[in-house]
Amino acid sequence: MNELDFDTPRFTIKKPAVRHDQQGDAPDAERAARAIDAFMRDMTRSAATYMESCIHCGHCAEACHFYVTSGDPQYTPIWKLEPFKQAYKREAGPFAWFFKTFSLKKAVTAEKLRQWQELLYDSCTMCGRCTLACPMGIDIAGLVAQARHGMFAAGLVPHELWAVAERAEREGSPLGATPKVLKERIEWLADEHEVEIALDRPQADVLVTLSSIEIMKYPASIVAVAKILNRMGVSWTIRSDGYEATNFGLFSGNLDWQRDMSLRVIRAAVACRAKTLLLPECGHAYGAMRWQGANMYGKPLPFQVLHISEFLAAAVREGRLKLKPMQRSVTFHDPCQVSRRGGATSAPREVLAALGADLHEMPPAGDANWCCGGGGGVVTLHRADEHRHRAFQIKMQQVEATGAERIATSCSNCRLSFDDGQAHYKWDRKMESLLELAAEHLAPA
Amino acid sequence: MLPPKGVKIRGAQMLNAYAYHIALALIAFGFAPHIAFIARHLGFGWPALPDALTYLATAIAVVGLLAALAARLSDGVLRLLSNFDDYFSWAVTMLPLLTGMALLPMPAEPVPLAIHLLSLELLLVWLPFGKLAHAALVFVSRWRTGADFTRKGAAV
Repeated sequence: MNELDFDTPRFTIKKPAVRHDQQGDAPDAERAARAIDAFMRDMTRSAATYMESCIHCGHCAEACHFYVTSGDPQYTPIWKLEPFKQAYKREAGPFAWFFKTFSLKKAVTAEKLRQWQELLYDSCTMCGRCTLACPMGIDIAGLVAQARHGMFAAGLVPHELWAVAERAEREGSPLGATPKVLKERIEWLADEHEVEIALDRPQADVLVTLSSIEIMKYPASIVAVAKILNRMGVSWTIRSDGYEATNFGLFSGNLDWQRDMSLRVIRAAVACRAKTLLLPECGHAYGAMRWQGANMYGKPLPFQVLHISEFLAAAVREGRLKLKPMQRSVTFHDPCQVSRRGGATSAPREVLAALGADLHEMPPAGDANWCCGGGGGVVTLHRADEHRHRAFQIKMQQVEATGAERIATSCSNCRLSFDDGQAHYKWDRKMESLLELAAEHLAPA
Repeated sequence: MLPPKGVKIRGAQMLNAYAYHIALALIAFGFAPHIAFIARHLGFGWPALPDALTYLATAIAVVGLLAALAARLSDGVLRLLSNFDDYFSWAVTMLPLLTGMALLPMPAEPVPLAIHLLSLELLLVWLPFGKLAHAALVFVSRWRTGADFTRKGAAV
């Protein structure tokens, strides 16, 4: 039922013949109660402040690619939280007793949550651009993540996202990149590209993690990271007991699964006494491990966590990695979770500078960059294709405005949604990987 | 509190919001009778703005609030987001302006003055319960996001 689709540019499970956008058979009243309980359980001081602070000014709409390209008010970012705002006012706010006693805020129903499923999953990539426009600085993407916890508890997750998340929890990879598949691919890649790819070494300074998208669709990235680390003489390894950096527990809204997925990698890093955990070209993997990993572990991580672009930037800065100039001008697409929400905006630019790149920045670039439209698990959802493709028009306009000849990014999920957008619009462009660019331009030893 | 470069917002709406917020502050704390009222109760005051400037600020505030209401009623996004709280908060902000203007020319008659004071009290009573609480929460909310994300060195 949830077979993988290998044949299309967008790599996910096949379009389901029959959708199952709810899980389990709990009655509606119980679903609603579970959703609200889960949402309130995660209520932090920040989230409660945000719930009280929104002044309904609508500025966030102008920052959202799904609103801007549709003009439909329901895609206003803060509106996506409406049932949870309503529940907060009724159940948890300082005047909840008042709202509840006089029924000024109605109880949230499962039917309403079903309606909001599309707004919380299909039309929000959790890119956080709306926060830049919000006069109150509300972290709407963070609230959407919290609302997704509620939706998961209610068993109201879209079909594909639940399927890949469940698969990731069960098999260790959302896209079928099991340890066995990983080993086979590494053997094949090492043989094909005549490169040593370290696997399951008992001790290494750097634990390299991967994204399933790279393993299954962009394996050249694995070769690229191996070539670079070998050239640098780094002690490194990939571990078959903790290689998957993507975290569909986070996307789908299941905190337990998120923890399981993070702990696999953390335990592998601890087992090989790694000093650095290297994250792949993946946006949400950075947020999940760099900024939430220690929370999942329950104590400080005994190693540093770096996105591959940060690692490369540090290596060129410290003279441990020498690159030769690349040809033709390039523009860089900032992955939201790495740049705007992660803080590693300057790293890829340092790498591009080391490549002597003629960098044409997008209007706007860096922290204000527009999302590719495929983040937050949206690229996995077939029914969101129309939204996503419409939102992708912004990216095409941005890229064309730069006049650059090449496009690069450092997120395989962005790359996937670019490949799909390019195929959909028959756009004469090809997204490239910053990591692969660096590997292709290693200076002669 | 303007968005970073490259992030488009509703420019006219933002400009209007700044205009009537500043105007309201000038009226509340710059009009001579208001300062006299505060000085009578707290024992200290400060120099007042010229009356003409306060009247100009009043015009800006009234027109600005009417424009904000018109936008809320006519714009698809704002109409969808708005609820009782938004309209009631607007009304309790507008009332002291209207009842205050009705007191001119000074000195005020006691009954209209009492109505003006009651309208201000209504605003102050409502302030912590509804959207007007953003007067204080704007600092808390922006601080929370700033604290959470500055730790990451991130923009958001």
